[in-house]
Amino acid sequence: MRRGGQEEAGEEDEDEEQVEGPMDEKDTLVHTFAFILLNQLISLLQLQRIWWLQVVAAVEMNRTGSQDRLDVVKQLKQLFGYLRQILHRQLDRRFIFGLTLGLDMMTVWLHDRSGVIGTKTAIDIHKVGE
Amino acid sequence: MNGPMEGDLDSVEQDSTLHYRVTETKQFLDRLLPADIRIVTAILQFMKDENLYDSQTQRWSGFPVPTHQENGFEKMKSNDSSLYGPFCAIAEAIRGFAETRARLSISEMGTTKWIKYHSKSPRSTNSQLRPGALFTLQAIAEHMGLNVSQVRKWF
Repeated sequence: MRRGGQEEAGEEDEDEEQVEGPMDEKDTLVHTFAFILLNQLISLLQLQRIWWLQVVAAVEMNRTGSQDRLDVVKQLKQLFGYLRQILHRQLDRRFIFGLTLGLDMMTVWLHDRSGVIGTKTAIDIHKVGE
Repeated sequence: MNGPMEGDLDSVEQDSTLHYRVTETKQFLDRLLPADIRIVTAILQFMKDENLYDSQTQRWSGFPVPTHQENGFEKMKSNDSSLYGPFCAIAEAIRGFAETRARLSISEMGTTKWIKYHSKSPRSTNSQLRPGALFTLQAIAEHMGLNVSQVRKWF
């Protein structure tokens, strides 16, 4: 009985080993898949993290295209805030370009350590030759 | 918050009043952002060939057309996000052509990229700025492990 029992136990062990094999492979596949997903997620997160060093120009967009002075000043202040922050965050930067953009018109600005200078008139982005 | 930090508001106010100058548009562009007319012409032709610029309507393709309300400058809740996609698509096409075929703007600053950035903020400790779009150096944007010293500064 004991021998038989041992044999039975041995058979059970073999069965368990046979069962454990595929489960390991499955686990490995799951782990690999999770690892790949995690890596992709990390890559995406890294792509989303932008350093101040990278910024060449910032754009403030406003769809209304209003020429009302208050709206224009509001949009400019928004842009100047971005440009000032970029200069503030990166102490060795000398200047930064900025654009305001509407449905048709665009202005260009250069912000450096002494202040801001920009285009007197807006540029029609749709007009060839502008 | 979709603008400067509280502490910078006074400085921004000063920028827009005391430290603010305008100059002739042509002079400004010619001096600070000079471009060879042949390259500009080539870019425009490429845009037309790729149907990114519509010669019939004389407008950039995909760019929103002003509505009556917007033309009349009436106050309305605008959807600025409709500008981000078309602008970045067109700007990226121009950049791609300029960097790969014109080969003039790539030498100094490396590859660049226009990205929509209205829903994110550049990495910082406490700032939450969200400009509509940013023109950035692609090298670092796509390879964050790159040593900063490997990137040539141009500014």
